Amino acid sequence: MAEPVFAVVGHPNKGKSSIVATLAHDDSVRIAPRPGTTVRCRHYPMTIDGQLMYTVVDTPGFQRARRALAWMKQHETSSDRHLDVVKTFVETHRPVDQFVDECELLGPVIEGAGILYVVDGSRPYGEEYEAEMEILRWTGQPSMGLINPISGEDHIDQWKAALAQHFKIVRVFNAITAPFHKRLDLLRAFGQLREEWRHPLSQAVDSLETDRARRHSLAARTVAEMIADMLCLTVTKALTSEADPEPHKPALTQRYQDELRRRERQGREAVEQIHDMRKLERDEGDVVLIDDDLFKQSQWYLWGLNRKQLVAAGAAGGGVTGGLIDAGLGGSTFLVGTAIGVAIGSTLAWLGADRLAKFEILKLPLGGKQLQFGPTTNINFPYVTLGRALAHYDLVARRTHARRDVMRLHEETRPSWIDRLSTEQRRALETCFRRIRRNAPPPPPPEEVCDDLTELIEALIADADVQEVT
Amino acid sequence: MQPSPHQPLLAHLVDLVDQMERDAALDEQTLRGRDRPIGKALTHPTNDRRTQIIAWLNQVRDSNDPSRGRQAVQAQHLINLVLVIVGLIAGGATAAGVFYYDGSHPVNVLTVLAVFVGLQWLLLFLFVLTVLPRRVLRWIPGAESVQQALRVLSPGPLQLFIARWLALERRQALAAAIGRERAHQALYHRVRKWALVRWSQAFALSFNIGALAVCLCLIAFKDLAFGWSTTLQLKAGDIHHLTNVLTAPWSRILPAAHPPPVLIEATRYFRLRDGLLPHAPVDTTDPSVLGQWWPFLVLCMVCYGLLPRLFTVVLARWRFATAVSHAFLHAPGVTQLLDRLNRQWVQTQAIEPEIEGPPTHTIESSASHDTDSAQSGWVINWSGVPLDDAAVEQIVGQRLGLNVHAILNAGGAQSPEQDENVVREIASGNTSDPIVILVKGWEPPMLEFTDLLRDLREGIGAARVVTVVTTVQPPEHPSLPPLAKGGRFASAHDGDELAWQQAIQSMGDPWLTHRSLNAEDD
Repeated sequence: MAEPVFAVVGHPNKGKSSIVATLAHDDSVRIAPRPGTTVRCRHYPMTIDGQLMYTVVDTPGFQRARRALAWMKQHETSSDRHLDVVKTFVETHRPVDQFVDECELLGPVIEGAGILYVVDGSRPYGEEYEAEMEILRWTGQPSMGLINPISGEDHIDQWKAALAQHFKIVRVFNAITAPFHKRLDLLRAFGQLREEWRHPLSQAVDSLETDRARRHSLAARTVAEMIADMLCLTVTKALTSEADPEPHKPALTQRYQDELRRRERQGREAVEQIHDMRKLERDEGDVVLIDDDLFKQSQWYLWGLNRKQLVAAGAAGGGVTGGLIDAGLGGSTFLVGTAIGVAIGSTLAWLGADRLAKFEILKLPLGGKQLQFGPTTNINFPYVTLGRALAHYDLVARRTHARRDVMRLHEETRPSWIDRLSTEQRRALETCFRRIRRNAPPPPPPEEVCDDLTELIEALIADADVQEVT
Repeated sequence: MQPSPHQPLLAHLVDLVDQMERDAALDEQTLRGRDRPIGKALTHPTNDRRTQIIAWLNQVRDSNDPSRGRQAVQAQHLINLVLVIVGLIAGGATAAGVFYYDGSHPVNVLTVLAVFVGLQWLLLFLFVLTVLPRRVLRWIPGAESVQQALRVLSPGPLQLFIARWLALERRQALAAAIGRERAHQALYHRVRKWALVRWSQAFALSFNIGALAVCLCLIAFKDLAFGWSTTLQLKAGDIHHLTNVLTAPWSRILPAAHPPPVLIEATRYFRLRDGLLPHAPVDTTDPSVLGQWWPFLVLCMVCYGLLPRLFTVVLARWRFATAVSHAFLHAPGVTQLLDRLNRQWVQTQAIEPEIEGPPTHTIESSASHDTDSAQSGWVINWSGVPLDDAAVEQIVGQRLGLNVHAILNAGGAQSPEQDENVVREIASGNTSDPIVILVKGWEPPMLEFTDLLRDLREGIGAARVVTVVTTVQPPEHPSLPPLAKGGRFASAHDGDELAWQQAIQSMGDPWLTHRSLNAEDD
C-alpha cells in the first residue's frame, strides 16, 4: 500500500501555502498576498529516519474551473467513469497552456491523493466555487474541506453548510495561529479519510509529539547554557602598571554590553533553529545592564598571580623556612619560627609587589594591571535573562511557519514568567544561579549545575505547553 | 589516515573539538542528514556515549586531514620526555652534589635526609594543596590563593618554554589540547590543570629516579663514608629517634637497613676536631663501618621520594584521564551531536526548490476616460456580486454617471457559453456604449476573468471604454445586511486591490480601467 498523499487545493489566495507551511514546519514556503504565487506542485514528505509516512502537496489554485468542468461534462459518459474523464482531461491538456494550473493541481489527485480543499472563512461563500468543488467530486478521492479564517470568522458557518454538501469531513484550521495540538488533530483527521491511512498518520503524529519534546529539551539546554554563560561573563583589558584605567572604562563597559547582546542573540538564533525557523526576523529590546559598576582592577605578578596569591606564595615560602628552623630545633620553639616566617614572607611580598611589576625578564614584564568588567552581581539578572529567554521561546514554539511578520520581543509583549514560578521552582533556580556564580569567572560551572538548570527550564516550558492545550 | 579507535582519548578530544568547529559552519539539516544515518548504523548502546562519539568521529573526519589530536599527543609526549630527561639530570646532579665525597668530610646524612626526605615531603604537601578541589579549599582560609600560586610556580608551566621549540603544527595542537586558546578555556580548565600536574609529577618522579640512580652508582663505584653533623644541639639519641620513625615502613622486613645506635653514635663528626670520627670506638679499625648508612639512605629515598612520586604520577594520570573523559563528553555541541545520532530524524520540509512565480506588474497610473453622463452603458455582473438590479443602477448611475442599458450576468454559476453570449450581445449593440464590469473585490482575479476581458475586447473592438469596478465592504462597517440574492459583502485584504490593478494593467489595454467602490456607496 502506497503511503498517503494529500493534495491541498482550492481557489487562489485562500491560504493553501500557509496551511502547508504550518503542517510542514517549513518557513521557506513562498507566501504572498498576491494570487498565483504557487505555480507548480511542491511535495512535502514527512519522513522518520528516511521512511516515508505521508506527503502533503501544495498546488496552484484553480484558474479556469468552469471551462475545465465544461470540457469534462462534454466528454462525460457515465458517473462511474468520472475519474477517467478527469484523467483524460489532464492528459489532453497538460502540454497545452490554457489549463496548466488545473492539470498541475489535478496531477496528484488522479494519482490517488486525498483532497484537502481550502477556503477562506473570512470571505463569503460564492457561486464561483461550485465548479471546482464539482471537479474534485468527479475525481472520487476522499476529501476534506478546510476553512482557513484568514482575517476573521464571519462566514465560517456559511462555509460549513456549503462544504458539507461536497466533503466527507469539514474542519476549521487557522494556518497562522493554530497551536501545535491543533496541527496534530488535523493530521489525525487526515487519517480518517481512508481506513488504511489511519495507522501511518497515527504513527506520524506520535513521532511529531516525540520530536516536539526533543526540541523542548534541546531548547532548554540551549537556554541554560546561555544563562550560565551570561552570568559568568567578564571582559578584561590588560594595561601596563603605570596606565590610568579610567579612560578605558567606557569602552570596556560597551564591550561587556555587546558581548551580552551577542550571547543572547546567539542563544535566540539557536532556539529558532531548533524549531526550524530559519527566516525569522526579530524586533527585540536590548539586554538591560542592571549593574552600575562591575569594574575590578587587579595587578598581576609573575605571569598570573594576583596580589593575594603573591602574598600567599610569600607566606608559604616564609613559613617553610621558619618551619625548617622549628624542626631543626626539635619543636622547642613551638612553631614561632613558622609564624615569623609567614609574617616576614607575606609582608615582603606585599611591599615588594609593586616593584616586582616594574621588572622585566627577556622583555616579559613581571607584573601589570588588568581591568575587568563583570561578572554581574545583580541577583535579578539571571531571572530577567531567563524571563526574556522563556518569553522568546514561547513565541517561537507557538509561532506557525506560515507567519511572515516580524516577531516583536519587547517588554509589553512578554508574559511575566517569573510571577508564575512556584516557591519550589524559585528556590531551585536560586540554588542553580548561586552555584553558577560561585564558579564565575572561568572555570565554568560544573556540568551538573547546567543539567539541573536545564531540567528546571524544561519543566517551565512543558508547563507552558500544557497551558496552550488547556 | 583514519584515526585509530585505540588512540588516546586526548587525541579524540582535540579532533572532536576541531570537528565541532568545522560543523559550526553547517546548518542543522545538513548535520542531521549526515549524522543520523551514522547513529542508526552504530551498534553501540545509546548510553555508551564515548564509544558512540569516537565511532562517529572516525566516520566523519576526512582521512586526508592530519589529525590535530595525534599531533597534540605527540607534542605532549615530547614535552613529557624533555621533562623526564631534565628531571633525571636534575635529580642526578642533586644527588651528585649531596653525595659528594672528596675524602675530607663524610657525606652528611642529615643533608641527604633534608633534601631527599624533608624537601620531598614538603613538595608532596604542596602537591596535595595544588590538587585539592575548590569545594574543599573553600573551607581552608587562604588555601585557594596558595593553590593558584603553586600552579604558576610548579614545573608544569615549563612546558611553555619547551613548546616554543616544537614545530608550529604541534605547538598549535598542544595549545588546543590544554586549552591555551581562549575559546577553549571554559572546556579545558580541568584538562589543563591535570596536564600540568602530570608533567610536574613526571619531572618529580624522574628527579627521584635520577637521584637514586646516581646514589646507587656512587655507592657501588666509590667508597663513600657517611656521618652526621649539625650545629643544632642534637644528641645521638635524637637522631636514633628520627631514624626509628623513618625506618618504620621497613624495619621488620629489612632490619639491616635500620641504623643501630652504635653506628649513629660512632658517626657523628665535628669540623674542628682532629680525626674524622672522634666518637668511634678506639678498637674499630674497619673503615667500612662508615658506609653502613647507605641501606638506610637508599630506602629513605625509595620510600619517601620515589614511591610517593610513583603514586602521584599514577594519580595525576588517572585524574588527567578523568578530566579528558569529562571534557570529551561535555564539549560544546556534544549534547546536540548525541541528539542527532540517537533521536529519530523527523523531516517535513519540501524536496523541490521553490519556483519563482510570474513577475508582478508595476502599477502605472492610467489615463482616465470620462464618460458622458447622458450615456447608457452595459453592466456585467461577474461571479454574482450580491447587488440587485436597482442597487446596480444606483451605484453605476451615481458613482460612474452612467445610465444602465442592461445588466448581464457572467462568471460564477454561469456557463462559459453564457459568457460568450454576453460578449455577443454587447458586441451587437451600440458600439460607443461604455461597459462596466462589477466584480467582488475580495476575491482574486482569475484567468477566467481575463479571458472574458480578452474576448470582450475582441468582440467590441478597440477604443471602447471598459471599466472594472471592484466592490468591497467598507472597513468601518463590519457587516452589512444581506443584499440581493442572499449574498454578503466582505472587506478587502491588503493586496486585494493591488492584485486587481495588476491583473488589469497586465492586459496592456489603454481603454481598460479600474475603479474601486465600496458597497455602501450609493
